[in-house]
Amino acid sequence: MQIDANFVEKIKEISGQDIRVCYQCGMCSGVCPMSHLMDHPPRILMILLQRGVIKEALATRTFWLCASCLKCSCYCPRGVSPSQVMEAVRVILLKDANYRLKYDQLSTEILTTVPLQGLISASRKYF
Amino acid sequence: MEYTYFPGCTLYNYSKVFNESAQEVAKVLGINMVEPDLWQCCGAVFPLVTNNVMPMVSPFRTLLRAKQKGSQGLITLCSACYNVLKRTNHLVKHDVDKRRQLESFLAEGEYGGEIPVLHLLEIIRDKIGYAALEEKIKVTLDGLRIAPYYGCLLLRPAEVALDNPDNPRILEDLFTSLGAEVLQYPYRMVCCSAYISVVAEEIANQVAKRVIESAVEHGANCIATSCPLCFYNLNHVQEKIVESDTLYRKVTVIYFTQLLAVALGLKDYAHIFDSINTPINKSF
Repeated sequence: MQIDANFVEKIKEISGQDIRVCYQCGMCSGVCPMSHLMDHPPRILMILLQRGVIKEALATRTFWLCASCLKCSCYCPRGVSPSQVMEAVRVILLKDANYRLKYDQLSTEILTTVPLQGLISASRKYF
Repeated sequence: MEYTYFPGCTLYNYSKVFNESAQEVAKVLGINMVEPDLWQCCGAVFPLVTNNVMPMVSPFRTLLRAKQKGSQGLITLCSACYNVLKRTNHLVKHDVDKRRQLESFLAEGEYGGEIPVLHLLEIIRDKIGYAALEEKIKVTLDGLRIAPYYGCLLLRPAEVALDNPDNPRILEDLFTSLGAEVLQYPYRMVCCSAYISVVAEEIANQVAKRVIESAVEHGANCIATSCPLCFYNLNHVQEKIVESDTLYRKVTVIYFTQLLAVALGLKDYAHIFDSINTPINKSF
C-alpha cells in the first residue's frame, strides 16, 4: 500500500487531531485497558506517527485492538484524542480490502452468540 | 410521563429480558414509553472521525422524527444507543455546518438537538426520585452484593455522561435505594473489550476477565449493567473459564432493570434471587 508522505496531515484531516502536540507523558498507555495486550501501547504509536516512522507504526496491532472506550481521550493532558487518531489510521488502512473484516472467517459461535450490537460495532470499525 | 422509546437493534433478540423487564418496571413507575412505528439501528458506535457525517444519518433521523412527533424526550436502555444518540444530539447542537449537512442530505426537516436523550436511569433519578422509588419497593434486595458496572458508554466522553464521569453514583444510589449492598471496586468504569470479542476473542476474554475478577475479589455476587455487549462479554468469558475449570462458579451478570423488577415485586422476576449464587472469593 502506498504511504502518503503527509501521513500526519492526513490524520489531522480525518480526525481533527494534531499528533504533534503529544508530549509523550504516557497517560494514554496508563489508562488504556488494552495496552498490556498490545504489542506497542498507544504512546509508542503516537511517537512513531509523530516521527514519521509510518511503516513501523502501521505494522503494530495497537490501533486494531483499540475498543474506542475513550479513556485515553478523556485523560490526555494535551487534549489529543489517541482513540480518534487510531480510528483515522484504521480508516486509511481499511481503504485496502485486505485489512477489512472477513465475515466468512468468523466462527459460527461468534456469529450466533455475539449480540447484534457487537457485530454491528465490529462491522463499523473493521469494514 | 410520556417519552419516545428507542429500543435499538439488540433489545428484541439477544437482550429481550432487558426490554421486557424495563417495560414492566416503567409501567409500575408510571413512565409511558412509546415506541415509534418505524425506527432503525443507531449504528452502535459513534464515528470518531470528524470528516464524515454519514454514520450519523441514522441517529439524526431518529431524533428528527421524535421532534416531529412532538416528543418531550427520547428514552434509551442500551448504553450504546444512549451514547450514539446523545453524541449526535450534542454534535448538531454545537456544529452548525454538520447539522446543515445532515439536514440537507436527509431533506426531512430541521433539527438542532431539541429532543433530550435520556437513559432510563436518569428518568428514575431525576423525574421519579429515589425517595418515591423506595415507597414502591415490595422486596428489598437484602443479601445481594451488587457490583455496578458502568463500562464506557454511559460516561465517556464527558459531554454526554449521565453522571460525574470520574466518580458516578447513579447505579450505586439506585441499588442502595433498593436495599442491596453496593460494592466499590476499581474496574467499574473500565472497558469490557466491546466489539474486540468479535475480532480477537482471546484478547477480549483477558480484558473481561479482569473486570470479573475485580468484582469477585471485592465480594460481588452479581454484576449489574445496562449494556447488552458488556452483558455478553462478562458472561462469555465466564463460560470459557467453566470449560477449563469445572469448579468455577459463575458470578451473575444482570441488567439493572431485572433487579428493579425484583424489588418492585413483579412476580415473573422473583426467581432471579434463586439463580444468584455466591462465587468463591479468591482473596480469602
